[in-house]
Amino acid sequence: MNINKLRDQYSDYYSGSLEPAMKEVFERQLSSDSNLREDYEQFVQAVSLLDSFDKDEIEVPHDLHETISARLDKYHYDVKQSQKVSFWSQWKLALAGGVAVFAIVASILTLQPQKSTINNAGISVSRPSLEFVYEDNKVELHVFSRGSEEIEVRNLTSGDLIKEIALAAGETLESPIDNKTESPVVIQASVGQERLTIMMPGISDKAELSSNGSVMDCAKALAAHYRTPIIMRSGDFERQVEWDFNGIKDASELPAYLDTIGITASIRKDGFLILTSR
Amino acid sequence: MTQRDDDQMFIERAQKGDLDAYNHLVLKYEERAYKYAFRLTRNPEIAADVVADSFVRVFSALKNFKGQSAFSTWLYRIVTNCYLDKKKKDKAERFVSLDDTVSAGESEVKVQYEDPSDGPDVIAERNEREAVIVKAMDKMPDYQKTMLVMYHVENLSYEEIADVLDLPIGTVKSRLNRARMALRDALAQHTELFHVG
Repeated sequence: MNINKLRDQYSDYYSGSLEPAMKEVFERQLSSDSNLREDYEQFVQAVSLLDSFDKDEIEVPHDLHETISARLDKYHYDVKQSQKVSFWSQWKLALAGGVAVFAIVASILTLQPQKSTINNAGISVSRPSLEFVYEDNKVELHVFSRGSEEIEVRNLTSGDLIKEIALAAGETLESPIDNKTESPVVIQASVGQERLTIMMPGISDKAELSSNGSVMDCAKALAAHYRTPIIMRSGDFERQVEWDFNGIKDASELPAYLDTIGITASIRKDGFLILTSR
Repeated sequence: MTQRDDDQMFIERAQKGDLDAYNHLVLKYEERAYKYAFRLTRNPEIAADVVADSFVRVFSALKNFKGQSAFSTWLYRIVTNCYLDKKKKDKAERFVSLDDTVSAGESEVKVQYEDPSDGPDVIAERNEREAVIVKAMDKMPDYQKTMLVMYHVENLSYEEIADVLDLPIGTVKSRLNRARMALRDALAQHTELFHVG
C-alpha cells in the first residue's frame, strides 16, 4: 500500500474506527517505515493540539442579543414596507411601462366573509361599522355590527347584489375583495344608513388617459392606469369632468391636477387613494 | 420532553408568527452561535454580524423548516453559510487577520487561558502555540477550516457535520482527514512550538 493511501487512513486509525484487516496492514507499515511513523506522529500532534483548544473562554459581547434583536426588527420593518405597495410606487411602475399586476386583479370579484364574535366590552366606541383595509396589496372589507344588522355588498357598475349577510350584535365580518374582470368595478358596502364605496381596478390597465365623463369615469381611468383601488368618499360622482393625465410627470402633481377639475385627492397611510368630488 | 421536542414546540409557535417564541430560540442559541462564528472569523464585531444575519435568515426560512434535523444543526448550517457568504462579499475588505491578533500581543489570546496553576511561561507558550494554530487554520480553505472547527471545537459528530454541510458521511470523514493533514503540514514549519519533526 502506498503512502498516500495510508495517509488517507490516519483519521480512522487515530479514532480507532479502522477495520481490523486494514488496521493490521497499517500497523505493520508503521512499525517498518520510520518516515511513515514520523509523518503519522506529526498528524497526531496536530490533532491533539486541535483537541486541546480551549472551548469555553470566548467572551460573548454583552449586547449580542440587542444586536440580533435590532437586526430582526429591521428585517420585520423592511418586510412590512415592501409589502405595502403604496399608490405612489404603483404609479411609478405604471409610468415605467411595467404592468404592476398585484393580487387584487388576480381573482374573480369575490367576497368571502368570515364572521366572528367579539366581546363588546373590548370594542372602542369610535370603531367604524364599515371599513376598507388595504394591506399586503389586498383589500379587505371589515364590518363591525353594533346591533343586529344586514350588510349589503353591491357591484354598482352592474347593479348586482354580491352578498347580503346578517350580523348579530358584536359580530365582525372580514372579507377580501377581489376583481378579476377586465375593467374596474365600483363596489359599495352598506349597513343601515352607512355606505362605503370603492373602485377596484380590473385585469386590464387600459385607461382613458385623456377624456371626459363623470367623476366616476375619471376615477375608473385612475384605477386602471395606476393599478390602485380608490375609495370614493363623497360628493357628486355623476358630475361631468374633463381630464388629461398625459401631462403629469410626477406623482406629486396628481392631487394638484385633480384639484383643478374639482376632485380632492388624498392618500391614506395604508396606501389607499381617496377621492372626494366637490 | 427532549431538547428537540422543546425546540420544536417553540419553532411551531414561531412559524405561526409568535415572535416571543422565536426570541426564546434566539436566547437559547445565540451564545453558541456566536462562539462558533467567532472561531471562524476571529473577530468579535464580524462574528456578531454573522450571527445577527444568521438569525434573520433562520427567521425568514422558518416556515420551510420541517424538523428533519435538530434546530441547532440547522443553525450551524446557516451560520456557516452566512460566514462563507460574508467572506465572499468582503474579499476585498479582508477579515481582520490573525496577524493582528498575534501582533496585538497576548491579551486577546490570554483570555482563553485562566488556569491559575500554570506559570507565565507555560501560559505564554500555550498562547503562542494556539495563535499559530489559529493563523494556520485561517490560511486553510474555508471548507477545511469550518470542518475542523465543527469537529474539534464544536464537537459535532460526523452525522451532524454531514447534515450541516449536506454531504455524505464518507465525504465528511475524508475531508476531515485532509483538513487535519493540511493543518499538520501548515504547522510543520513551527517545529520549535510543536516539537514536530
